Amino acid sequence: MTAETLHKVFGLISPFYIVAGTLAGYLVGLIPGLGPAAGITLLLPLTYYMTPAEALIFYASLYQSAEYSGSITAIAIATPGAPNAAATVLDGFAMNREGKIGKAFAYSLWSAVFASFAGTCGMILLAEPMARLALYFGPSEYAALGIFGLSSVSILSSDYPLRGLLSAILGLMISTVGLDLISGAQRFTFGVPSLFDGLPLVALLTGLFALPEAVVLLTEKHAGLRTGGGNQTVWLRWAEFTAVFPTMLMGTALGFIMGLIPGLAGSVPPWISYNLARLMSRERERFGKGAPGGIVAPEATNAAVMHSTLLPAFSFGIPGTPTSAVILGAMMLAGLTPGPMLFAEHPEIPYAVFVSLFLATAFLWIVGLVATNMWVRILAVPPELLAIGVMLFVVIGSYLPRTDLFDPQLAVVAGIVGYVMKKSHFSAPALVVGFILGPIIETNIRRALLLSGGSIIGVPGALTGILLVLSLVVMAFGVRQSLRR
Amino acid sequence: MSVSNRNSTPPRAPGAAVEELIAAVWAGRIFAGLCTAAGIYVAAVSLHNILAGQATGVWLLPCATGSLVAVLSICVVFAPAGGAIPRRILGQRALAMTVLAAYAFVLLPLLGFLTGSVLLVLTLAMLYASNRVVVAAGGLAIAFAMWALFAYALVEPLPVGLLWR
Repeated sequence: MTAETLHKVFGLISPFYIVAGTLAGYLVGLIPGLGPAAGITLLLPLTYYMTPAEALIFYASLYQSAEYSGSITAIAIATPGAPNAAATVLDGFAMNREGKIGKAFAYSLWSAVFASFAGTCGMILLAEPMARLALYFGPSEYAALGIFGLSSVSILSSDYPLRGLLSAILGLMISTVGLDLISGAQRFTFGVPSLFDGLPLVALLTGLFALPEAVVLLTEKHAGLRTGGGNQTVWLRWAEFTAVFPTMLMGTALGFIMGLIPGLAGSVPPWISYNLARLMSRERERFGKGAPGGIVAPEATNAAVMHSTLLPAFSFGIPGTPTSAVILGAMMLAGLTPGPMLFAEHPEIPYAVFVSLFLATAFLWIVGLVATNMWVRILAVPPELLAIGVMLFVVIGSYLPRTDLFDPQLAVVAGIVGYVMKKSHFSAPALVVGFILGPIIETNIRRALLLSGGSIIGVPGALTGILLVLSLVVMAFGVRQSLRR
Repeated sequence: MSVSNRNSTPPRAPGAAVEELIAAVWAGRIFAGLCTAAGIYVAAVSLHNILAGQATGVWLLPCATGSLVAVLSICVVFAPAGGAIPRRILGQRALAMTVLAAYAFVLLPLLGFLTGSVLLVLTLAMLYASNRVVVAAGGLAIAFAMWALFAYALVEPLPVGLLWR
């Protein structure tokens, strides 16, 4: 990195968006069921009021703190704010019942902060080499990588692989609505002008992710959302920190590696980390009864996964998780092209995001130390009020980008479809990944065909072949799992 | 001589059809059936356009994805997954979605954001909130705050004209 780029990086860092993103992430993570993907989609319309760098800094800070704050509800009321925090419930809530809620918060906070620092260092070290590697990818390799990412996310991140795959391909199919990217021909627009630009991303995402959760929040009685967390200090003594440091290190390394593989990130890595920590521990019998390692391992893994899932999105333009797909969507809305060209044309933007993540981690730590007990009190807000707020935000948020009434109406329809999909075990996140990857896959397939003079046999290189075979293996695995079920 | 009717089907209980429909929704059959129809339509239109001489590249992905969606969704129809939601909660959620749909398709176009949102907030607070006053007051505050923040983009009141934009 040149001195000039470094100067630009520090010029782009925006403390306001770091603080705003971190606080918004805290709030999003605290609302059970909402999660980082829905939280970011809810705030996507704000992208139009920010510069590309500000938008990315805001969403990355939000993603980081939302991943952490899901553990606050897991510890306080045994309800994980996001599925990733489910493993934290076991020992976090057990420690809370022992009257050590402050200590439980501290273990969770310190491991998230450590893993975030380490994860950001990993991003800085690996992002540019990965982007340089991506430059060797031609259109056929890109298309194959997109197909591999899509098949992995849809099959491996779903309990019902066949339904996950169907959802992903459905997402690819609906991404073809609108004017063709290369020729400008109309596809499935039915003469409706609102469809000429394709299905609006913000309306589709907010509808699919946020509205079903709002309906559930509105109709479910949350008897557990009352807590007397007390005002205990969220602090670890040096001896306590060093005792759990090896577990923290293991959780971080495991999370960072698993996050790099598309489809493996999600709610699985924290459980693997939890079990590994239990196997490593000399006090295995304490796990599930308030063992510090039972909080530290999954929390460190969660934080590290979050950072490494962003790497393929930034360097290759291929998301490994639904949340990184949403961030990819935010990058596109902000007018950026994710992938190696981002590092070639605007290297200052990804590095400004990485440096901002250091500052966001520091702010996350300070807020966690000072105000975790205050955040717990937010859980006393009636869930029905939160649901109404989310609904109004979805409507206004989907309307604003194009000031077209079609968009909030589509959001509501997407919300109903998303709810039915969720309850009948289809995967709305896989659909979103398919929708976002659709144009990338299609454009690259067509470029590859143009380069080979229209011959499919002439297209694949060795890497393309390997990626396509891997995709087929993953899909066959998924179909086999489904048939066994 | 008496005739045994052991082989005849027992009379269907009232509401059995509704139960079957709900079970089919949760098993994913209805959604998969809709996907099959959509997949066949997309694949057929794409194939028709290719055969009509339009550029193959334009219709390649829709044709491939449409066919795949049709095939996979047929597989899903025959491999349903279990799942159920208590009738009471299901009714409440269906009502909430109906209210939301009425808000988006009727209230927003006819009354605009502010009036439509006030009606939505009051309706939802009346129907669902355990502490109606707090939820209604909070919801109205959110609606007014959003209106105040984004009024520049909203055409109020009665933006019937938006329908024809």
